[in-house]
Amino acid sequence: MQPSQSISSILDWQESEVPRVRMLLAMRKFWSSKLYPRLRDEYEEALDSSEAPTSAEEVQSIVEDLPSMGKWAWLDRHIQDRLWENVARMVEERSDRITACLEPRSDDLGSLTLETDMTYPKYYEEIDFHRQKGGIWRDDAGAAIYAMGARVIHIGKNDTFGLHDIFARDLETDPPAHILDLACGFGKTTFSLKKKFPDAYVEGIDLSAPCLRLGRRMATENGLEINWRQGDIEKLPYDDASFDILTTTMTLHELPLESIANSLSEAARVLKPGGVLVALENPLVGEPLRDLLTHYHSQIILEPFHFDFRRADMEKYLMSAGFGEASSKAWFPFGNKPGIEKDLRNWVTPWCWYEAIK
Amino acid sequence: MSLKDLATAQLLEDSDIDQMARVMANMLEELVSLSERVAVLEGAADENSMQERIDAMIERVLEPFA
Repeated sequence: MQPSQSISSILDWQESEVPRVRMLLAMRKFWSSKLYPRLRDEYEEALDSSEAPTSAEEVQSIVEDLPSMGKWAWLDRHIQDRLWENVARMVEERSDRITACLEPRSDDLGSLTLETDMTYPKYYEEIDFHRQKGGIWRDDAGAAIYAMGARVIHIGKNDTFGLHDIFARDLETDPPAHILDLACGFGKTTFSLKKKFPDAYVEGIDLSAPCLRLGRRMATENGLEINWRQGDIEKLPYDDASFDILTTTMTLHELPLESIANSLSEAARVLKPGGVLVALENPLVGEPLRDLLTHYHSQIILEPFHFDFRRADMEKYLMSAGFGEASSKAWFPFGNKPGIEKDLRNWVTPWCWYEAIK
Repeated sequence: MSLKDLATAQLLEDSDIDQMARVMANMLEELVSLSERVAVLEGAADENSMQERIDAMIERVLEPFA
């Protein structure tokens, strides 16, 4: 018997859940728009009464003594934990329906290739990225929790992952024949790529089998024929020169630098000559307080490699990986206007669009 | 913790403060949820302004933080 409910409707918020989700957003707004400016005031006051700091260590010693620092860090950690705890409870209430809905069906679109004996990178197994307990790869619940949690950040604005549609929209390229989305998760970007390039062969690769199963179900429900493959982007299971475009969104910062280098080399290998890799990321702002707080935020939400990534010269990494050209530019999707990050009282996460041509 | 003078000794450790703050935040979430239910019963639950109502409540409650 086919389950009657779609995965999208199962994962949709129930009326009673919406205030709890909106409270998470309200707390995040308070954290960024009230507590952060307070911290900045305290920081600037401390600067007035001391020599201007000349090193990151000096900035750190000032910031750690600010009265609001502990509150800022506590609230950051608390919001993150509360997010996953709430969403995990919501998923638990839906677990039977989710399991039934993710069973393979004869009319599933595209393909799904899973490894029978997957070897995961050590860091991937050991770190609960973003503080999601158990990660996104152990079972279907982990993938569903991730999918629901990803929508909390922009409730009402990014419920259908519009950010990723804008990313695909902004890809300036002739219609490609073969597209690969690296570390695709459950397919937020992959869906957008297929929508923009309906005639292309689109494949998403990720370590997480539950995310791939979820992605295929969502894609099928939306009439998107996408191919899903379990694999490690450091060891891509494709022949040389197989794809015209490779994309990866918010992936590289989760990897140790050595894994980034390996992944970029593999990306260059599987791209056709003239093919393009586009990576979306968040760079540093270039201002001591913001960059230090960003570092703390990465520590708090368990993104241990983020700060190393942000300090690394990615264009150099791309060139070393075998690309012929590499560039980066600021990218402004909805909500972010050019220049907004220059006002130091705004807690804005800038976007960076890396592009490399083989 | 000293158990010698339970009448006057400080009973909660500094490390308990995080847990106490969590208890308060749990209560706040229940309050937000109940408040929205009351708004529905009162016919004042315009869904478009739900985020604004909750933002305002969170700001009022967390005001000592900022």
